[in-house]
Parts: sequence; C-alpha cells; structure tokens
Amino acid sequence: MSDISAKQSELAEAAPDIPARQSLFARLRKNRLSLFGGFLVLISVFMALSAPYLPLQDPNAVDTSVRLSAIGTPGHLLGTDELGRDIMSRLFWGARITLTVSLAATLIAMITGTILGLVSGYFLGWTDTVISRGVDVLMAFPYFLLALTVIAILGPGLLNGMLAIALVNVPFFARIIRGSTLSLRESDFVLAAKGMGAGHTRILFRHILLNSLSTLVVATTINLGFMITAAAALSFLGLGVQPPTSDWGTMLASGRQYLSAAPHTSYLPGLAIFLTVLGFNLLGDGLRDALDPRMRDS
Amino acid sequence: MIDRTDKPTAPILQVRDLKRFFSVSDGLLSGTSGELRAVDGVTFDIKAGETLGLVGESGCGKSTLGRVIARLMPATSGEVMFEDRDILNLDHRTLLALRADIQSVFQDPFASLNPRMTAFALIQEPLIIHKVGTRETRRAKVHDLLRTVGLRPEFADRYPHEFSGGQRQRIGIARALALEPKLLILDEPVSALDVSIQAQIINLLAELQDRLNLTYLFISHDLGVIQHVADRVAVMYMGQIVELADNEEFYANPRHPYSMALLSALPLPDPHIARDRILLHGDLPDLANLPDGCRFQSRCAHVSARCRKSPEPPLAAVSPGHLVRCWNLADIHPGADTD
Repeated sequence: MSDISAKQSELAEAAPDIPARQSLFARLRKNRLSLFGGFLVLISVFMALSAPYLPLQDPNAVDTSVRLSAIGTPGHLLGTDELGRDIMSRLFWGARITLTVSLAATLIAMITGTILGLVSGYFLGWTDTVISRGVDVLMAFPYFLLALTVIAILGPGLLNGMLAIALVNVPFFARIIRGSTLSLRESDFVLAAKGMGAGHTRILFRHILLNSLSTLVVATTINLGFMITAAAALSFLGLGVQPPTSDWGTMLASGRQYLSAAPHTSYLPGLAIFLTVLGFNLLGDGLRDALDPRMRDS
Repeated sequence: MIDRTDKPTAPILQVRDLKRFFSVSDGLLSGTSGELRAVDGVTFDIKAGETLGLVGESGCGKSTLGRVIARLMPATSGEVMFEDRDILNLDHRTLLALRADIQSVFQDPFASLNPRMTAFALIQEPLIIHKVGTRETRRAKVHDLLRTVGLRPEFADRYPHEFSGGQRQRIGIARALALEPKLLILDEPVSALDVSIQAQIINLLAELQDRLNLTYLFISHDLGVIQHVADRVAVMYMGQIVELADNEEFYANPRHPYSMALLSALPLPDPHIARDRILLHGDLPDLANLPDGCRFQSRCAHVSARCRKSPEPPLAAVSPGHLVRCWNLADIHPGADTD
C-alpha cells in the first residue's frame, strides 16, 4: 500500500511547474489598448488632483476684454470662453467636479445595486419578487426622465444631481449581480461551502461576490464612463452644478451658443468628456481580462 | 487490491424509508403540478469502516440521496440516523457539528472548487468555519492535508486552474478531510477523470479509508469502479433500491433483472469470454407519473401480470444480507433457493 502512495505522490507532483503569477499591473500592461485607456483615465485624474497646485488662473475670473479668444492666445493657452475665463483652468477645475460626481454616483449605484442583486438572486422567493419588481419599475422609466423627475422632486444641485444619476443606475448593477448570483448559487462550490457549514454571509461574499468581482469591475468601469456623460448632461441642462462653479457639462452648454464663432469653447470640454469616457471603457475591458484568473499566464 | 477483512459491523448510518420529492409544474398557466419522486422510500445501513457502493443510471436519484444524507438538501420524509443523531431534525448548532462528521467529495473537481481561492484557502475554509485552531496550527494542518492526499505543500498558493483534474480532486478530498469526518459521501468522485487518474484517486481513497478509519458512501454509475471499491453494493432504479448485496455475492450472483442487465454490459478484460448481453428495451417511466406496480416493468424481460398491479414488490431478503425487489425471482432463477 505504501509504495502505491509513493508512486501516486510522484505522479501527482509530475505536473508542469507553472511560473509565478504576475501582478495585476504586469498583466494589464500586456494589453496595449487598455494601457492607453488607463493613460487617458490617469490624465483626467491628474487634472482633477493637480488643479489647486498648478499655477492656473482663477477659473471664475471674468475678463470681458479677452472674451472668446482663440487657442494659443498669450496668457490663455487654450483660449477663453464667452466671459473671458481661462478655458484651461476651467478644464482642470471642472475635472474635479465631473470626476467626483461620477465616481461618487457610481459607487452609490454599485454598492446599492450589488447588495440588492446579491440578496434577490440568492434568497429568491418574495425577497426576489419585491426587489426585482422595484428594479423593473425603475427600468420602465426612460433613463433621463427618471433622473429629471428625481431632480424635480429634490431640487437642482450638485448633490441631488449625483443622487439622481446614482438611482437610475442601480438597476444596471442589480440586474448584473442578480444574474451572476443566480448561476453561482447553484454551483458545486457553493454546495460544498454549505456542506462544510458556511453561513449565508460567507457564501454571499466569499463565494458568490468574489466570483462576480470581474463582472463587477468591468461594469463599474464602464458605468463610470456612462456616469461622466450623465453628469455632464445634467450640468448641460443646468440641473447639476450651479454657477459660478462649473464642470465639463456646463462648459459645453455655455460654449454651444458660440459654436460657429468660437468652436473651441465647446469642443475642448467635449473632447475632455469623450476621451475620459473612452479611457474608462478601454480600461474596463483590460481589467476584465487581467482580473480573471483563468485568463492568467495564457 | 483492497483489503475487505476486519471491518467492524456496527451501523454508523441508518437510512429508513427516505423520500425526497421535487414539485414539478406543468407550465405557467395550468395550475396542476406533480411530484417528481427522485428518492422514494430508500432504506439501508452503512456499517462503520465499510464502503457502500451505490450504482444506478443517471437520473435514478443516487446523487439526490447522497445530498439529502449530507444535508445539502432537505428530505421530504423518512429518517436518517447518524450514530445516535437523527440528522434530519437538528438545530443550527448540532447541524454544524454533524457537518464536521459527514463531508462530501463532488464529481466535477473544477466546479466544486471556488476558482478565486487558492488551494490553501480552499482547504482551510472548513477549519475557519468550525473555528478550529489558530492561524499557525491551521497552516500546519493544511500542509499536512496536502501531503496526505499526495500534493506538495508548495502548491498551497496556487489556484484550482493551475492544477490538473486529478490534483484538483485531491484538493477536494483534502478539503473534505479537514474536519476529520467519519463518513464521506463520494458523489461520482472519479467519473470526471481519465481512467489512469481514476485508479490513482481510488487507491488514494482506499489508503485514506484504512489510515483514517473512514466510512464511504461511494456513488457511481460505473460497476467496474464499484466492484473495486465497495464492500457492499446497492443498485438504485427510479428512486428505489432494487438490489442490495455484498460485493462478491452481487457480482457473482445478481438476482434483479435490472442488475443482471447492468452487469451483462460490464466490459470484461478477456476478449475470448463470450457473454450474453441483456439489452434493455422500453422506456424509463416518468418519475412524476409512475405506473402501478413494479417500476421496472416497462423494460423488464421477465415481466408478468403481477408486476403491472399494485402493490410494488418489496425489497425482500433472498439470502442473509442479499435483498432484491422483484416478484418473479423463482421464475428468473429456477433452482436458486429463495424465500
């Protein structure tokens, strides 16, 4: 019997040696497109973080003598807007608002949606019925109409706008997480966990949530891009950030009136929005590949 | 070969008239619904230290039976006694204690291991749930378990996808052993593996049984594997046990027409031995809508009028320790002495 087990161990150990696992960053770096996405995201984050420390002009300093000046004007590298405010400075300061609002809204939507999705997909029964029908109701409204309704109730403003776009994105996360919970709860490893006596919390977080993580990361990153558009759209309509503070959305809105005379007043903030959204989407795709252990070392 | 002598005889598990029905609905709009009788009145014992082999075709309820015994799903009715505990009626705390005593090994060694946990985390998890030891003693224990199942402790930090199928099944076995269980429910533990790897895992299980004094409920559809591992064999058909006998007795002298048909399909290593294959004709009955009488009537070559009427044949002893569920044994085996 003992020589059988010796032979067995030998056989069991004969598996090829697998190289040490690479770090997340090393794996991400191999994907050029996502690297570019990460670079774009990094630029916007840098803009947001560095605004107070860079020698920028006051973003709200009005100087009507230089209004609508073109790109390359001395003292105003990216020109000025209709009130003569420095566009570069406003882009940097606007990045703070845009990114903070979308990040906070995404986090609120993600946490709420994930918890709702986990609970409804795992416990099923009436819990699921109540949550899923609630989510259906939210989804039945046109996306932006719902956000506008929430703002109409709460009143316009930065915080309310954030809550509004967070609320309308809860179904997005709840649906995704409920779906993956539904399939994961039937998996053998969840059965095995039950068999060893694991409680609901352990199964939900250690087994189901952990295996939904790559889905969640991708959903979050892509949703971030979406939120930036939504936050900008609310500001564009004048329902988000209130003057004199402004983000990329309000810049886009005010520049719109001078589209033919001074197109850079609208396309510069538009470009900032576009590139940041693109960056988050590319990064999301890359993260999905990098976070999935089955994709590793291949 | 596995040593089958010196096995103690006290039953560690007693299953009495165990039933597990699933409700089935005929569709969204029709209100009618029926019951699918996955396990329908199963009674058997497992003695401490023995291996009971449970065979049957897919869908006969053998995995459901294993899962009900492991308390992975509730029973509809019946009684299951493990040692002196009625395991179908336990409160939360005593159920947790029971889980340490009855552990399962699953068929698919990939699906049963959380792909996001390392081998170490997987094997350690039952210890954490049951609050066994400190961080250091748990670490040592996991390394011991890895060695026990023939894996190097250096493999501990790897993820399941970095192991081969056989190695993954070893991790599954190590995890099942972590709480030092008395009974292991082996639900097709080798069916997903290559034949050469099957032999390794079977030998490992046999060695562990001897060393750790384990009792096995070995579920398989492979009569060859069961012949090799089991002390006694139970054949399941449509949610019921139709034959139960000692290993040697069963393979030498199968009594139930279904067992005879199954055994006639077992490949023999010698091509010169001619054998009459018994081919089964007819369809499986619908588990949600069973016919009167014997469940095997639609496929049985020896069916008689009595088989088509209620009641069903009982599981009766034909010799000590050999139970068969059939009315027509005297006709099928003329000359054999039956009660």
